[in-house]
Amino acid sequence: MDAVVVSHRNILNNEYEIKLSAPPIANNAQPGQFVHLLVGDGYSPFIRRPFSIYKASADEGTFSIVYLARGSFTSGLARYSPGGKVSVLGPLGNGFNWHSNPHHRSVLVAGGIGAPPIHFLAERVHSIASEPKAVVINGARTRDLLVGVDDFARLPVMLHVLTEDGTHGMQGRVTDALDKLLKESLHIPSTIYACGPMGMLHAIGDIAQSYGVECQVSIETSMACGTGACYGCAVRVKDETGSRISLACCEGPVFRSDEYLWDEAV
Amino acid sequence: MSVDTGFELCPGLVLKNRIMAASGCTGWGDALQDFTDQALFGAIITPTVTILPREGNPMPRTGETPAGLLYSTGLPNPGLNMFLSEYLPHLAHIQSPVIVSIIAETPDDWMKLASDIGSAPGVDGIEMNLTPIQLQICGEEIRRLPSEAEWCTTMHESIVAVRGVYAGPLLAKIPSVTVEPGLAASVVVEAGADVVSVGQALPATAVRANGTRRFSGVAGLSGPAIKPYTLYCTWRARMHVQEPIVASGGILTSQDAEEYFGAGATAIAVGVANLVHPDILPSLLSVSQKSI
Repeated sequence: MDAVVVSHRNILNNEYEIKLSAPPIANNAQPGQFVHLLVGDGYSPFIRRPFSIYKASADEGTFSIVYLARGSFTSGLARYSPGGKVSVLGPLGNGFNWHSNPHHRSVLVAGGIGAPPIHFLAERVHSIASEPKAVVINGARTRDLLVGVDDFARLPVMLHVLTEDGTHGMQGRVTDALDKLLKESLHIPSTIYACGPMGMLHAIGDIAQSYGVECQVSIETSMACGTGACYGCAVRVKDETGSRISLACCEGPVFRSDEYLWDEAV
Repeated sequence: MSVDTGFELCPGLVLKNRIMAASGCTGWGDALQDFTDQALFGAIITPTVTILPREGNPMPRTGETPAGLLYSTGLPNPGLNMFLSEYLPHLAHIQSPVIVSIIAETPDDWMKLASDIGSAPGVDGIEMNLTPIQLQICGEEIRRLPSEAEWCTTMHESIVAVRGVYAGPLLAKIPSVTVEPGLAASVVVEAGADVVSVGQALPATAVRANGTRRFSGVAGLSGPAIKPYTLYCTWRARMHVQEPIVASGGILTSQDAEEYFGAGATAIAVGVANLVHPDILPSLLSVSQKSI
């Protein structure tokens, strides 16, 4: 479907949020799901690109994504103005299996451009949970790669912001912050949700396992169709026979970290 | 929406219209179901089935190039037995003819696949994938590809083997390289194929800035980037054979479709367009009605 651009803002440097009107997507979107976008009228770019949903409002019939304009696709997207139309498929994939129990303790970890689905999840978790507040750890290598700073700050969550070079928030890595949090916590969380670079997700999965906490990760992999037709986004997961191929676009992009085989290539 | 009332592509195979789903671009019947009415396809050609299951090539499997998709999946499929027991019944629910793509490396394996699949309920035809398997599967020895003469012999023997056990509608998808397309069309028809399928992806690769290849195996280049070549192949095939031709290669618009019919195609198969625009089919059906 063609979605109309409602607003498009430059957040900082090359970080943008584009809000699109698409009621069927806004009504059905779940945190962790993605949309598959195609920009331009010609054949370059030719293939769609997946973007995790950052916000969705069923009331407005809109959703938004956040992206860093740093390649030909995203630079092309950055040129869209309100009123323009973007071809979009979605919502696609399986999102986080998050819990609507208000007493559920959640820790959400975002790394760099992996922040959008974590922000969407934080909004939804906040909407049903009064106490205890969810913990959000948002980090990146440097300030320019830190996403959603102001929007996370507006949510009533316990927010930890870090950069590895100390250009914003505390200096350090999200994995160190998570480990410290779990070490010092009086109440171990029920679930850790994470999205970010694969190395970060692997490390978070290991930390979660060492504390016996369930962990769900939203992984990023190259993807063409987004619908399960092309078999181009294969990952390896555990099954009763040892392992099997899974398609990130259909079964994922969210997987339980203890079911995802990090070290076995497809 | 009104659609064609169908026409006979070859003895025993009546298509619903002249727009088919090309092999490997609609999954196993479930990938497009949320986006389009798959029953509107003239017929659906499955991904290629091998005797044994194949997980496929290592990642990455896809890449982009201007106006094209690089695609190196390595024929992932459930293998003959599971295809028949679990996948085919699901495909049979789609109210369109089902043509099963197969590939093998020996006459015996071709015969096994054709015999078991050809006799299964719900199968309306078979398409033989006649591109050298080294160009489709990572890990095979690709240092030496067959010569044109060798591959003509192999294609001929393979089709004769299949015809020994299967008398139903038989499509032969000729390779995009190795054999001149007109010659390939002649060979497969002479060997017993009912229909020539044209439009196999072109072998391709991609190289990263550091000099390493992106794909472990050979990728196939599909999409509008190859359309001038696949039109040429269609034209060459039509010069050599009177039999029906199913053409594919970068069809995204009704004009593309018209060009293929103009080049001599009897029907067309939509491939990579389904991956980018899974709802593209209705926009192409008008040309199908006009051309029937």
